[in-house]
Amino acid sequence: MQEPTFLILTALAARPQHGYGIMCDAEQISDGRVRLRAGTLYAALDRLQADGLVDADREEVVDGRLRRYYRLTDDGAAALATEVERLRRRAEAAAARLGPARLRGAQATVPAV
Amino acid sequence: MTALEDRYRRWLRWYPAEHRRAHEEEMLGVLLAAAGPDQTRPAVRDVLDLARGGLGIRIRRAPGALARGGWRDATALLGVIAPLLLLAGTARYAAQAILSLPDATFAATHGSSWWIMYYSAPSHLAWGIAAVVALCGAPRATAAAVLAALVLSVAVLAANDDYAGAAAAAPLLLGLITAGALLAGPGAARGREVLGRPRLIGIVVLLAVAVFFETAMVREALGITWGAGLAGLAGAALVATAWLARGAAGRRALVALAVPLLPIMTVPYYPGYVEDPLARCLITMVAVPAVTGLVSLAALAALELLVIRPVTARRRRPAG
Repeated sequence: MQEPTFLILTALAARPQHGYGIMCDAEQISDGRVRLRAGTLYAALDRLQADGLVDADREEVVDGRLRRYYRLTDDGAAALATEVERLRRRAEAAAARLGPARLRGAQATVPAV
Repeated sequence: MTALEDRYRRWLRWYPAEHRRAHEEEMLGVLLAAAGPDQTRPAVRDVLDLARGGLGIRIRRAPGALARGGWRDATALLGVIAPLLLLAGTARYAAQAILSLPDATFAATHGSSWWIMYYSAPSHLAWGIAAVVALCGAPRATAAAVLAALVLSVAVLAANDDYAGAAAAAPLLLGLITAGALLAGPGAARGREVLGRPRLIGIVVLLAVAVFFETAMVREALGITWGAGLAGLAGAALVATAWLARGAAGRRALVALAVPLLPIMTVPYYPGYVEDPLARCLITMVAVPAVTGLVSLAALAALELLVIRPVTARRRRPAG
């Protein structure tokens, strides 16, 4: 799963969100490292909708502008869960090979979330 | 509407119309929300991202859009015209072979081999059969006949080390177009319907005229010079092109036909200066059709975007 896809599905996992909401949330989830731009976001949403992982939820007009909310479908939740499990196994394998001492060393250099 | 919004809207033209209808306002909202307070021009990175996203969506949706657009009818037309052209090629060979029979008989009685004089007869016959099967409108049988003719042609060309310029590649490409059009398109019956009986008869007559002028021995027998023959051929091609170019489906079919036919007209030489037979084969069979194919595709894209779409859009939207 590509990173934008993972971030979008994660952003929608708790509740439906509109485009700008997904954008801000993705930035927050990635610790400010990934800023999805509109082109990338809507290309991914188009693909995810076609694959049935994401669906349009509702629309509202705020300050004269249309906002469309997107939600995670059951298939989308299953795809995200599979990816989470895959990443967890990888992270565990990496942590086990590094050993507790070297893992603590890395944690000290990375700022806390 | 602010200047920034107007500019973003212009960049959103990268997206297919269908996507714009559903998402343009929403995307504008996102772009404006993400823009800085004093920003009046789109950021370069945003523009590049929009272009990439729009092109990505266009490419992903292209197969469906092609199936819905005039391509269905263009494929139907190709399913009729490509086999007619193949048949014309076989007819030309047959005419030449029959007319040269007295000379060949004389040569054969003096030690020449029939096989050497008529070595490409089997492949021409195979293409003729494939064309007739296609004109009967049987897609799978056509695909099988095209495959057989393809194998036979390549074997004959390789066995005789004969790469007679772009003309050698033309039947192969026309055969592939025929099989592809019949397998993927709505079929030969729809092709005849789109073409209409008068144009169908007209094209058959023009092909007969072209075969007539293209056959060297006929020209010699009638005292027609090579130049006059070429003019007759070009005239027939022009009239057929003008007929087909009257409809959007016909224009698209013409561009597809340019892939096998353009090399014959633009690369009439045989790459004899290349010594390696394999390289010679690759030049005629792969490189030349690939280059003309790309040129034709570029022409097709330009035709689609600059002529067909705007014209159809104008017709759909009444003036005023």
